[in-house]
Amino acid sequence: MMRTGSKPAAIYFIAILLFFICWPFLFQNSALYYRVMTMTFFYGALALAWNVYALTGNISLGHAAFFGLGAYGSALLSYYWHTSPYLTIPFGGIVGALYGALWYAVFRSLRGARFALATLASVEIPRVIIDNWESFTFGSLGLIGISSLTTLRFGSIVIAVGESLKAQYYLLLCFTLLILFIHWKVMKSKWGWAIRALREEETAASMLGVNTNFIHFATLLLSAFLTGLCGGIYAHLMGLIEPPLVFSLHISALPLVLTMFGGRYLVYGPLLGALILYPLDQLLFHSLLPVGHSILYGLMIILTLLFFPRGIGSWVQKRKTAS
Amino acid sequence: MGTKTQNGFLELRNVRVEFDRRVALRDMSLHVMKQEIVSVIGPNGAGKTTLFNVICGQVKPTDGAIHFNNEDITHWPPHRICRAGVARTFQIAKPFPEMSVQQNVLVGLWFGSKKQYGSLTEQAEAEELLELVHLSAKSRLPAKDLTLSEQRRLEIARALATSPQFLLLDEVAAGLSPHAIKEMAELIKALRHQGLTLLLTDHFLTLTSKVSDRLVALDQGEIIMEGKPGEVLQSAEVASAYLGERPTRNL
Repeated sequence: MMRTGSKPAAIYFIAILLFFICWPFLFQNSALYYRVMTMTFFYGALALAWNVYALTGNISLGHAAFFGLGAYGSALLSYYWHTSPYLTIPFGGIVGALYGALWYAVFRSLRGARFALATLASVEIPRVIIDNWESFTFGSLGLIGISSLTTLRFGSIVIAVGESLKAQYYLLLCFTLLILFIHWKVMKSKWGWAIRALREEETAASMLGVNTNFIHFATLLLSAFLTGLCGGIYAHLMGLIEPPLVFSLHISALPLVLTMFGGRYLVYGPLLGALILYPLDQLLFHSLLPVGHSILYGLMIILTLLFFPRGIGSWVQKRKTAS
Repeated sequence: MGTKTQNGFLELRNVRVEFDRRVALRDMSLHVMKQEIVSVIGPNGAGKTTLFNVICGQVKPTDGAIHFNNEDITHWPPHRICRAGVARTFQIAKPFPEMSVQQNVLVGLWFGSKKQYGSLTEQAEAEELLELVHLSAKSRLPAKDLTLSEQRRLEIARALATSPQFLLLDEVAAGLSPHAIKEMAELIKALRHQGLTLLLTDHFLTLTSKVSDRLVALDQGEIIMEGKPGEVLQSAEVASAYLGERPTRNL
């Protein structure tokens, strides 16, 4: 199934990947570009993780809960037990997934706007707890001096991820590719058809043998886990977190904006959104409008909804199938 | 648990369904034998669709038990009931609108039957089922582009894709031309010949009286009469339920 045109797609993918691997060799000392592109891939991964659940048709406005719990889970574990960040980051993912399981238990019967509002509200619970549990989390002061990503050693190859912006860029590129792979597997498999059937007509899907409850549970858990991982990486990348930063609406809403812009139903849609919008915002709008640059996201989402209701990627897709 | 009876392929035992204290099914007992064609008739709101929903697990009964093929399916989730061999169509068609007609059928094959995902014969099998309901020519179109009556036929193909033993067809004859009704009657008989058991509802009685072995007349969530089509249709009580004059019943 769906094998038509997969060869050119693979060629495009490899060409684009090569570009993102090679460009740092052309701009040897551009800290700004490295930083922006690292965060671009970071938000791309976040958007992909978010979309794993959004594919079921349920739009979450509360993924900041998983993100913040992942960030705090990973940072606190490394702070108190001095564990390597590469071990605490997966732990952050697990903390996010646990909260995802709780969501499923409580919100399982909610759909559409009621689900979105419930998720929006659910961010407040972990935020308030962490804000007030000062003896353990340092509350609203935030957690400062989180161990940075430690140096990786592969035999004679030593990569100082903590200091080198370039190394951080490649690390995030790899991480995003991993999430992209998972997103692809989720969409283009038997599972993907179950998700699609339940998105398009949930009652009919269950009557045709699709275990809709399990699909909701599994995709939510996976999405929460991956978002928790993103939170963990963010904590160690920044070295500083505080509740309003990681539990912010910005973290919940940005994946939605990027995904809607790039294309919700495309494997690369959320990442495409990040690759276009984030550099545009940081490199262009930020210098033009230092204060109100995030107006770009508002503007873009309105334009997308008006002119590309299925995302900018759907336009690329259409041209490809037409030719 | 009562003793396991061998008589009915599908058995409802004192099934009661309430929505917010409104009774939709009132302690209904019904049995359908293997390879029987039974039609449920009754005016709007009599409980026909609720009966279908409760058999398929979409609505859980407040009280009572449902047995299928000698298994208690009362508390099973819908997908499990489907895999056990019960399939249905909906009164108002519920296709997957963005999927192609063929993909709609493939979902039934992959999840409802034991068909392997990605097998070589799946598309041919889907096409065969679409042939049965005269939709082969439109198999590449998105399901939302079909007319309403085509969407209803697609539902039959999709339900058959789950390789059911028991098929529930909700309002089979609605919106069909006289010619199409004749074809549908042939299809229903052919399915029974292949070993299926069928439960139908039909608001207008045009089709069901011709193919059914038995009619079950519902009114206000209760069975008011059941028997051979001729007997039931001549009953004064059934006629008055349809006409809306409700005689006071002696209980």
